[in-house]
Amino acid sequence: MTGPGAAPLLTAEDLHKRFGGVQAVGGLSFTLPPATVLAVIGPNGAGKSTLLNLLSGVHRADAGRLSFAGTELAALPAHRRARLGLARTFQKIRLFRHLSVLENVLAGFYTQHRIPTWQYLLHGPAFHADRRRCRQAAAELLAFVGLLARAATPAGALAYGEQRLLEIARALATQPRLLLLDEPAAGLNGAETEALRVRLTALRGRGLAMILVEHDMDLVTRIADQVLVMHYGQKLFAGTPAAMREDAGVIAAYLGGELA
Amino acid sequence: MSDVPSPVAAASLPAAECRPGWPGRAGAAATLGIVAILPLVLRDSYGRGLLIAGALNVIQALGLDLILGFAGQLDLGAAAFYGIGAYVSTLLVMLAGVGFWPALALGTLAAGVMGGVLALLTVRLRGHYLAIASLGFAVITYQVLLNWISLTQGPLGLYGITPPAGFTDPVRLFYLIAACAVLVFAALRALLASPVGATLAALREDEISAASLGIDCRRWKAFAFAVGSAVAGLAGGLYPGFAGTLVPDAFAPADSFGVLAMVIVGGIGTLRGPVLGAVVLTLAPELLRGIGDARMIVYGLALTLVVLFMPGGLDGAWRMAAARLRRNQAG
Repeated sequence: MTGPGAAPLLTAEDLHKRFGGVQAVGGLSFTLPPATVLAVIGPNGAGKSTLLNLLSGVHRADAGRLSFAGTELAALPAHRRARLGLARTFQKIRLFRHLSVLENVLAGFYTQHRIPTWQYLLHGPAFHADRRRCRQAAAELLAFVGLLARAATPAGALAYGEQRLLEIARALATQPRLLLLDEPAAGLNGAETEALRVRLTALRGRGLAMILVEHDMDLVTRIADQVLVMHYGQKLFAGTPAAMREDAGVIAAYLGGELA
Repeated sequence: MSDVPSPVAAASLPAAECRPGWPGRAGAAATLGIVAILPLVLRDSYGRGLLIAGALNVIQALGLDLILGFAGQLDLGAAAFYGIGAYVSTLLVMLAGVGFWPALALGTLAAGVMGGVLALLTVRLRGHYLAIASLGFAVITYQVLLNWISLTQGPLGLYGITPPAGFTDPVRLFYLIAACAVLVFAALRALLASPVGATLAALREDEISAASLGIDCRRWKAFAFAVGSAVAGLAGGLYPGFAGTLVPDAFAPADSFGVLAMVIVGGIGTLRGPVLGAVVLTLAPELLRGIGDARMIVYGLALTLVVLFMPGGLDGAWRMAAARLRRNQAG
């Protein structure tokens, strides 16, 4: 879709993040071309979730530069980054548990309402048109993740795998240019992981860029265009999944260790 | 979206979101009818005073529930904003010669601005910490009213305050305040049925998640505090004309807990709840007058029992009873 010469969607340069005495991310640099799926793998504690938190703005980097589609991100709070088109899901699911499935997705349309201010108090034609538009789009997103029939259910009452999919639908409601997924397959059974893979493949087919932190190597090799292997907060390897399997450093530090 | 199975109709979604505590047309008409008739039934000045106090409490409880129930911010400063509305509007009339209506609007605005400022100053605080900070604000406000004697006359208070022209008759004053309560209710209902309702719910449920959707939590906390406090200020501006006098003790920090009790007993996070709670808790101590000194004990016991056995408050209990009735009729 996009040639290798195209400007990268995301550029990270020399990112650092320290928590107390722990250097969670120490001097990490990488670029993400447009319409690319990057899988970030590495042992527990390698700094993968911290990296996603630095990208989405949950944490601020201690040092380093971060630019997304030509905008410098480092100083921006999380909600401003979301408006630029960065959406995310969470490793520990953070749905609005007491709201219905539909309300969770509708909350994701926050940046897209087109209602004159006075119509918030006196609902006029523009208000109702906006409501119809958002409900239609929410219905399509819920159909995409297979939760349309559960629209009225409280999010907290969904099965674990369904909650993971609902988080993706909620993130997609923001119409992201880059979707960050923090261990989307964690805790899922085989069928649920397959349901997830089908959706991620569809999103990839639409050209949505994604950064995926994941332990499930089968999912990674089937979805990812690029792999970033992290080790103690640093880059151990960056390249294609096929090249990763041949890389001596990766085999020694991670894949080999897992097989042993 | 090409890979969506078959054309998806929004019609397959649950019909209009049916929110708890949202009254239907019949309920609204019946409530308005009762409000219209009440002052004709209660003809003595004691009864009419009770009606006005009840209507003021309804407005205050609605304002607090926006902050507490809908935005999830533990605000214990309600009495301060009620007092700011009362003193600002009254002093504007008495000292600056401003007319009642513009003074009422400015008192409401002042309370709203102070609410927004308090929210921005305490933006990093949540839960118990926010509760203590807002209670502290109520203590400071009370001390200012008490000790800025050149402006407020301190504990001696301001005397001879009259209701606005045309509303000196208590029945008309009640209709005025009740109309304000209905307007506040309608405005909050429209606002919360708009995307603002979902935004505040997201803020209440999970701030990190909300921010990941583009929601500026600071801004919406300030919004909820400003609007909720402005509503309290509106009630405050309507109060002095009814009381005739204005003393700081009418806005003691502990009074915040009275409003809090109305919201919780009625049903937090609903619109019907605070109305029910305000009416019941205004009437209860008066109805218990017959038992003398024991009445506050009974009142306190009743509060405890409601919180223990009706987690959704009176509104929640009402809805459960209605659902059971429907099931029985169907079955």
